[in-house]
Amino acid sequence: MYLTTISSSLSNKPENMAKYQNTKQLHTRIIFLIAYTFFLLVPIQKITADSTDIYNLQPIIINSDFQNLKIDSFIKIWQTEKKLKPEDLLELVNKNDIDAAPHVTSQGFSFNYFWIVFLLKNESNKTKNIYIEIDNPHIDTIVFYSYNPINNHCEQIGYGGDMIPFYQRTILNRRFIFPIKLEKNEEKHFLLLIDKQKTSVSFPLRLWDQFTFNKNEGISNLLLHLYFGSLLLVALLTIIAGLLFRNWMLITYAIYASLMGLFIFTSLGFSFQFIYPNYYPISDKIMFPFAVILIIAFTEFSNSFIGTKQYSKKIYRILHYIYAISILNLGVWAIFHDYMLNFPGLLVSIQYTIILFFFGIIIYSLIRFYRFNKHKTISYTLAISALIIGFIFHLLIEYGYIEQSNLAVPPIMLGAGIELLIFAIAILIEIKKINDKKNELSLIVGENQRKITKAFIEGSEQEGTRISQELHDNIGSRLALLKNKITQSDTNKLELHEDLNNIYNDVKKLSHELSPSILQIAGFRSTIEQFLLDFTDISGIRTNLSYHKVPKLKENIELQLFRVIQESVQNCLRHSNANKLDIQIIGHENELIMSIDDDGNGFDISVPFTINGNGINNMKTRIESINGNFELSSTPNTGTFLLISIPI
Amino acid sequence: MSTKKLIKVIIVEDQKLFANGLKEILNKFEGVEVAKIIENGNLVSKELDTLKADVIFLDLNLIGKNGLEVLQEIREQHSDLLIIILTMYQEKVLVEKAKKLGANAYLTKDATVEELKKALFLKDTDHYFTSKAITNTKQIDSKNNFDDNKILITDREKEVLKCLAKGKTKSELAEILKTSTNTVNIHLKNIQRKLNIYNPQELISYVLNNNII
Repeated sequence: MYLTTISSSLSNKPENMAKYQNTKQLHTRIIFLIAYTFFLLVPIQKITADSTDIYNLQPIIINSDFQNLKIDSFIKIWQTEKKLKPEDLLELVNKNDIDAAPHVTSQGFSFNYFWIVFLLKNESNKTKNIYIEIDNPHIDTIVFYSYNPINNHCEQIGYGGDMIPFYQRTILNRRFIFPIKLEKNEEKHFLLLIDKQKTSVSFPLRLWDQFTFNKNEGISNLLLHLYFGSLLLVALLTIIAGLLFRNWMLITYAIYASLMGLFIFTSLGFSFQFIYPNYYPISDKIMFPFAVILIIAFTEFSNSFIGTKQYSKKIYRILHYIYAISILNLGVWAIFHDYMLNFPGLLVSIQYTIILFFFGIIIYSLIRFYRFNKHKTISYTLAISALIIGFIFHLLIEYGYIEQSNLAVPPIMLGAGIELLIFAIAILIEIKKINDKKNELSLIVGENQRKITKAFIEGSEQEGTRISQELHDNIGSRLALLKNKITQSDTNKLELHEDLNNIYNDVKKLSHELSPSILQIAGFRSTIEQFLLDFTDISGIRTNLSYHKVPKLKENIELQLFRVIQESVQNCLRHSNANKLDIQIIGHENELIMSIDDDGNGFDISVPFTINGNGINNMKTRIESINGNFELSSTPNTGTFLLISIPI
Repeated sequence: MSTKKLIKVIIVEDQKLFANGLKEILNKFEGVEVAKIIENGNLVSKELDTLKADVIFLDLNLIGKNGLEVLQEIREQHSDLLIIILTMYQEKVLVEKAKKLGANAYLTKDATVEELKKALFLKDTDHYFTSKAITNTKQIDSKNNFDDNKILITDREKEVLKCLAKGKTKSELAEILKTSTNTVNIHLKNIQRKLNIYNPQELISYVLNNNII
């Protein structure tokens, strides 16, 4: 307005000169003009001075080789409690009715709306295509305007946020990206509105040349693919192995690794992009319950890995209380969700406290159990250190103490990746150790088995040798003598008869297998005792014999019972891994009861046993041949119990 | 030359040829005389009373009583008698039992004449002499428990007693122990028989008093 008045009066001046011949009038005019200009210029100065004072904005210079720039030091931030129209905000700023916010991030939680302003200037000689990146995937609403500082007229360039479906974003990316086009030598003002209520706020801002951004995105995505791909692969392999080998440690590791991967996936914003792009109300509510479930999974895995159950039942139980408290916390969150909106920090802080408590207990357990398994505790300590360090950095960023863009990789990702790797290696080593031990034990068992077989074979060969010797030396020579006597003329029939009788008796004895004779001579009890002593010597299995009120039994009964004892004792050694064997033989009024009892593995009786097969049928036949009753009971892990009753 | 006391030997052996052969060998030793050959185990004790022998060779396989029974019988009555078991059996159970019953030596029939002599002129009667074929290794039987002194109650029987002390019935017991009532009955019978206590109350109090459960 002023300018037009001055230009008109200036242009009018020569014409008016002719009209007004009074020089006095001219002079007055000139003075008037000077005064006018002075008053005009001052307000103009004031405007421009005011603009730079309020904003104090340093323009961000884009030249021809611009690639990317962190612009945190070039921006100005304001906070408002209400959501204003952008024009209204700019007016408030102009009137200096609002103070600038000091930081790019808000420490702790905020209920305010954030307004960010910056100025771009293209000093290259071509059109520049720029992206502005807000590297925080969890923002409710974000609106990007460019505006004219003179009239505060705003033009919306971009719109995004968790509260709208993913595919409505201006640029499809898990972070918030908006395009800026600057003609050569163009200068533009921009305004960003960020609505991220009720959670901690941090929004690192970065400008990218479009091509640089795309290239970087490509590389970054490749690395992320590798990261998540490996995680998925490891989790898959571990769960299959865990199910195959029925190993709880592997299963809990797989669950934990998957959950951790998913957690990171979500916190980076990929879950919103790929898993639930339309269900925007979820994104707000998902992180907290997720974190709780993750903690529970990790506690269970730690329990399993460290093996607290076998070292301290108390600590094992305390760790289970963590589940309870976490689930309680989750319950409170779920039920009183709307009420808790006013105290967003409370439940999260409780959960963080639970986590710290958990780590405290774990550290205590590690110190206590160090001497039991050094390698395990060291690897666990290294692993969770990586995670804890990552987590601490994450907390520091969350609460605004560190600028996120200072770090190249999200710290939780790095920490979790290292941690899972260390655990994977430790688990593999553990499994190798278990495998080696198994091999060792089976070698020992095989060795013992061989010894027994060898002894048995030697024994029976000795027996065979003796029988054949006996036949040859004793019976054979006597028969020879007898033959001699018969051919002689003065044979005594009676003597011959006696000789034959004797030979017959000895052959009978021999045919009884020498053992029964030994049973008869040494006695039933002594033979069993000696047999058990020899058995313990070879096998290391303790044996106890309870022998009460047993009458003198028929030869055959004693033999069959002894054979059954031999067979079941051998079975016990071969299959059951027992430590103790109890044999009882107790005589009652009308019956004899024998029981053989071991504390080994037992077996499933319903399964037709091919290993013991013949042996057990053998025993059954023997007992039945002496009119006895044969009962075999066994349940896995309670040992085997053989009960025989014979009528006498 | 003073007449040395003749060592009188009795051979208890039912194999005539072997017995005669042994007699020939023994008689060839200086100062040794075989007084009698006995075949029947039942007759040994009586013969010993009349004959006053110094040494007896005792086979285990005999007509009538077997050698160990004879051994037990005669050792009780003749503590000075040198008893040498001479048998074809090498089994440990027999070697140990003969030792326990008081034999001085145990020879297998494939022993040498030297071993025979050694046994015959055995000075150290505390040391149990065995022929080469027998490994006379001392057996460490600390791991085993044969209840001579202390009556053993097995773990399963202890379970039964615990439940009984709590007042469970037999059918409840059967369910708890995952077995049949028949088995439970048998366990009980065995326990009663072993301890010679048939009254349930007495049984429980005995068991509690002796810290069996």
